Amino acid sequence: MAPLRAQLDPDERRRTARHAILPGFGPDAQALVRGARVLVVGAGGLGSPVLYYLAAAGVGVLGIVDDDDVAASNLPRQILHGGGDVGTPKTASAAASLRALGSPTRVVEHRVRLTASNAEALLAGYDLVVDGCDTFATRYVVGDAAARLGLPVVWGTVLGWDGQVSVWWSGAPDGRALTYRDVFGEQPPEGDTCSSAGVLSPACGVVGTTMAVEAVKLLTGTGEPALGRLLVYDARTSTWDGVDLGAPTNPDPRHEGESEGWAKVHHQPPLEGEVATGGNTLVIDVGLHPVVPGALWVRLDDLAAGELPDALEAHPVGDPLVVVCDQGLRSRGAAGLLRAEGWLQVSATTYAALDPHGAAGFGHD
Amino acid sequence: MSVETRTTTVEVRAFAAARAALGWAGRAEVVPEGATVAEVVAQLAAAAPAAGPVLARCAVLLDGRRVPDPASAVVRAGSRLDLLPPFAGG
Repeated sequence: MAPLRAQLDPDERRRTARHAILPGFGPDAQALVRGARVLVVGAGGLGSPVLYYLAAAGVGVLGIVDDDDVAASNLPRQILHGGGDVGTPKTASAAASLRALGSPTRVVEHRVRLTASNAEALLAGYDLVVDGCDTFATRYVVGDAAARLGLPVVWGTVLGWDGQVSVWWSGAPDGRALTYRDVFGEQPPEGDTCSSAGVLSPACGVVGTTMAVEAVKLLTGTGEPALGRLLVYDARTSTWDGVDLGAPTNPDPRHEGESEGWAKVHHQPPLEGEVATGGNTLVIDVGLHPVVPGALWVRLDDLAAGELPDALEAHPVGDPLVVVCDQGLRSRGAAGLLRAEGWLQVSATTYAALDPHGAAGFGHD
Repeated sequence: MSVETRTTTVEVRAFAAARAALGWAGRAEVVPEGATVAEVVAQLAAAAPAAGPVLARCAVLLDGRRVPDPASAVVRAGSRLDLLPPFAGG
């Protein structure tokens, strides 16, 4: 989990001053919030507090996935939307409410239903997914796609007087690499929903706000996220219980495949030499200083600000981009930005993987 | 003269709709030694028949791990069972 650190301008430093002085958080964590790209699935009862808090906190890019229109019965709990929004797309109404907050967050509307065929492409442009949708079908699509991509998912659900929150991350360390399926198994038939069984409106706020807390902790590496723990909320008594989750004893072979998927993202296999020199491939070095001979060196901050050098602007969107840095974290973040800018074949790697034998003289110290 | 059945005690926690249907949040349940997870859940359902349908839908965790086959997973003294009805509202 490593969004890029984005530089805060003086206005944003002033706006986020309470985070800057917060013990255990500080300006460095806020810079990670500013550089983060978060996809929120569902702009409803849970998505409303999640999106409000993440936008207000200054998350760099917030994607909103929802294909629904606002209905009058949504209004008591889906507080992004107002009476005047009934009948209009939730993504548009949500985006308007978030922009009114005056934070520097870029809001991206994805007015689509997330399906197995579009999920991976959508999720791949983000550092973190927050799942507050309202069907098992979409939750399993989100869980499976994120597990394959190695993206963490802040997951929350609410019904009646009850709520649950956890963090699924197929790439998590220390035996906490759990996925939605590890705990809840195969997809059950769609059961009761908020429209059939009702829901206590402010309970959505409690659960959704807890999801926002988990998201901010994951993005910044602060606190202790609910990895390997299921948080269970009972609004009748205003009580939270924690269920400690064990690593699966008999890993499903599919999950092993998914873990490899994560490994592909985070530990790129050594690239072939010709990739670096191939005619159509542009290698972009996002290290603190230029390291790779012949590569285009780009400052991450410029990339985050959308200031692209001419040589990059001129690179056809269909041709491959290889982004490289020392640890693979800056390059991964930069790759996400470049995909969002429209390039279709972007991979991230490290100096060592690009030059495994040190033949070019930069792969090893 | 009857043969005494040896018993063991497990900790059961019920959440959400399972808690509402059973009428309790957690309790120590005395079960026959060597009982499986499925047998413990059946014993709970026998004591509260109205809870049967929701118990059947629950994800059951044994010491924090999902039990893929409740009919073959045996509980031990001090095992913790968590009954989690799945729901997907948002």
